[in-house]
Amino acid sequence: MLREIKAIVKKDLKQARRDPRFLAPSLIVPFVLALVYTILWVQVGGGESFVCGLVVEDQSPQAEEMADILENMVSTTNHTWFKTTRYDSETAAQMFQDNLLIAYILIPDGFGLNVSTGNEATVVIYIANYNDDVVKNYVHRIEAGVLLYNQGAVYPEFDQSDAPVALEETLTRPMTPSNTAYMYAVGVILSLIVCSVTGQGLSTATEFETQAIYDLLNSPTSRLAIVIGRTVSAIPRSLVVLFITVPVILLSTGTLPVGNTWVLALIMLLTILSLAPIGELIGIRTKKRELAILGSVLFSVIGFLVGGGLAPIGLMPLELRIVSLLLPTTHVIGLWTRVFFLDTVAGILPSIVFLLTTWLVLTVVVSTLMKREVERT
Amino acid sequence: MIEISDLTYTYGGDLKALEDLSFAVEKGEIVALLGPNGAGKSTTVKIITGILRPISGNVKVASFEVSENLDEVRKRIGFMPQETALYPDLSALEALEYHADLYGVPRDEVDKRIAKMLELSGLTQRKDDLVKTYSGGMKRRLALVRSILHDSELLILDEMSLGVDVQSRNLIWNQVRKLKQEGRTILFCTNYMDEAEALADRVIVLDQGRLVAEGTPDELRRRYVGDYLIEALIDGLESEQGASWLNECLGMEIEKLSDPLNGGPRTAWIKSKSGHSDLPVVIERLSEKGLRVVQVALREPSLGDVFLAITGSKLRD
Repeated sequence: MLREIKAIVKKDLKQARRDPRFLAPSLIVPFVLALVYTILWVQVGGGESFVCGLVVEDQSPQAEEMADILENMVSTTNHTWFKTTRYDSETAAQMFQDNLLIAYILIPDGFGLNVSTGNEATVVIYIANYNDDVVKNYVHRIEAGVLLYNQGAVYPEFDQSDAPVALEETLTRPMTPSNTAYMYAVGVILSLIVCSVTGQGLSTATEFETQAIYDLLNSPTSRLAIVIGRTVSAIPRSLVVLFITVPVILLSTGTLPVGNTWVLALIMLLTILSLAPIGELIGIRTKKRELAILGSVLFSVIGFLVGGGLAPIGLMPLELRIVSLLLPTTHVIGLWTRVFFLDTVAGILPSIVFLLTTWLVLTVVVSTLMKREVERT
Repeated sequence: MIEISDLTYTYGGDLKALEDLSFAVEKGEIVALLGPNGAGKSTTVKIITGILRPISGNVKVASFEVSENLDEVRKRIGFMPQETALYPDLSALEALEYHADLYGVPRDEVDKRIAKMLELSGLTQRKDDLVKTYSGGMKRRLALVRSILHDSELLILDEMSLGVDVQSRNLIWNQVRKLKQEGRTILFCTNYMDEAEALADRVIVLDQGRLVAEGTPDELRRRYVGDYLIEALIDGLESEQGASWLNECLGMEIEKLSDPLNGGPRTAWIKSKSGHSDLPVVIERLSEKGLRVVQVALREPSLGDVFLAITGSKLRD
C-alpha cells in the first residue's frame, strides 16, 4: 500500500508544482482582506459598531449623573457605531460571557454614597480585549466619560489623585494585540485556509475534468490508500504558501507568536486536514478547474468572515453564530489567534476535537460521494 | 475470459440501462460491442471493471466473480476509457510510472516495460514532454499502452480511435492486432463500423440495454442483410411508392429507401442473394413500371448496413 500512497502523493505534488493556480488566491485574499480591514478602521473609526452594555446598580443621583454622561457625552452620541444600552447586571454578565457583548460598564451599588462621602468611587468596565481597537473604542471612551464626571481632571494636565471616580478595567485576556499584529496573524492563517481548500479543490476537479479519477478507481489500489495518499499530498501543498506569507507578513513586521510553536504547527495541520475534504467536495461538485478555484475562494472568504476573522462571532445573531460554530474555519481562527497571542493551551481541546471529527467525517463523506459521482456519471 | 449472465442495471431506480444481458467473450478473442447511443455499452464496461454493481445477474472475469474479487479482476483488466483519462501536467514517462505503481508492476520490470510501451506508442522521443502538449492521437496511443503496461490479460477499449488521424488510427489498430497475437482478450466499444469490421472476430450489438444480435461480421451480414446489396438510384418514384411497394414490384427485400427530396431520384438498398444476376432483373422490373434507374451498384453489405438493419435509422440521443 505504501507504494500506491507514494505514487499518489508524488503525482499530486508534481501536478501542484506544474499548475500552481491555487497559490494565487492564497496570496491575494489575505492582502485584500487586510486592505478592507484597514479601510474599515480608517474610514469608519472602527469595526465595532456594537453595543456597549451599561449596568447601573446604584439608585443614587450621582450614579444617574455618571450614567447620563456615559450615554450622552459627545464621543458617544456623535458616532452612530457606538451605542450604550442599559441592562441589569445579571443579563449583562451573561451576555458578556456568551460573547454577545464585547464590553459592559458597571456603576456598582454604593457609588453615590462613596462620591458623597468623599471615598473613592469606582466604575468598572468588563472588556473582551480582542485587539487594540476594541480597547480604544470602549476603554478610552469610558475613560473620557469618567474624566468628564471628574470635571476637568483631564490627563495629563490635571492631577487626578483627588478625583472622586476611578475606572477599573477588567480585561478578559492577559495581553491585547495591536490591530496590525492581529491582522497579520489572521492573514497568515487565512492564506493557509485558502490554500488548503483551493489546492484540494483544484486537484479533485482535475481528476474529474480529465476523467483520470476513473483510471484511479479502476485500479486495484485500495480506497484507503487513495484517501491517505490524497490527504498526505494536501499537507505540503497547502503549507507551501507559508514560505511566502510567513516571511512577508510576519517576519518582516516582527510579528512573532507568543504561544507554543508546536501547538501552532498542530493547528496548521488540523486546518489542512479539516479543510482539504471541503476542497475535495467543491472539486467533486464543480468538476471544472476554474470553477473549483472560484468555489474554494468563495467558501474560504465566507468561512473566514462568518468564522470571526474580522469581528468576533459573539456579535452575530444567534442563528448565524450556530452556523458559524459548525464551520471548521471558526475553530481554526479561534485556535490560531488564541495560541498565537497567548502562551497558553487552555481551552483549545474542544476545537481540536471538533476539527479532528470534521476531518474524519468529511473524509468518509467525500470518499462515498466520489465513488457515487463516478458511478452516476 | 468474460462471462455475463442475466445482467440488469438501472440508473436512479427507474431508468433501465441493461436488461437480462448475457454474453461471453472467449480467451484470445477480439469482440466489438456495438450499439447506438444509450444502448448500454458504457454501463456494461463499467460493470465489468467493477465501477458499477449490477442490480442482478453475474459477471465473471477470468473465472473471478467481479463483485467478490474486485482486486483480482482489476489486476487482470487493462481499461482505456473514452476520454483517455490522462493527467495533462504529467509527462508520458511519469504517467506510465504512476500507472505501474498503482497496478503493482514488479519494480525490477518497470523501466523495461515502460521503455517498451513508449516504443510501441511511438512516444520515446516525447516521453518527457507534458501530456497537455500532445496531439489527440498521441494521447490515445499513450492511453492504450498504459492499459497494457501491467500485462493485463483482458483489454477493454472504449472508443479507441475517437478523434484521431489516420496514421494514429492505423498504429492503434496494428497494436490491437499484435496484442491479439500475444494471446490477449480484447473487448472494445466503438461507433466506427469499419473499426469493428477490421478488428473484431465477433460482434455483439446492444440496443436499449438488450443484446439484439451476436456473431461474426460475416454471419451478421448474411443473417440481417444478405450476401449482396444493390444500391439503385431510381427516378420517377412517387412519394406514396414506399419500400413495401418496391418490395412487391421487385420481389426482393428492400433494406432501406431514402426519403423523397424535392421530387428527385431516390436511393433504394435492395438485398440480393445472387449478386450480379439480380442487377438486370432490378433494372427490367423497374422499367416495366415506368421508372428509370439512374445509377446502380452492387456491393457486399458493410457492418454499417447490418447495424442499421438491426437498430433502425431512428436517431438516438
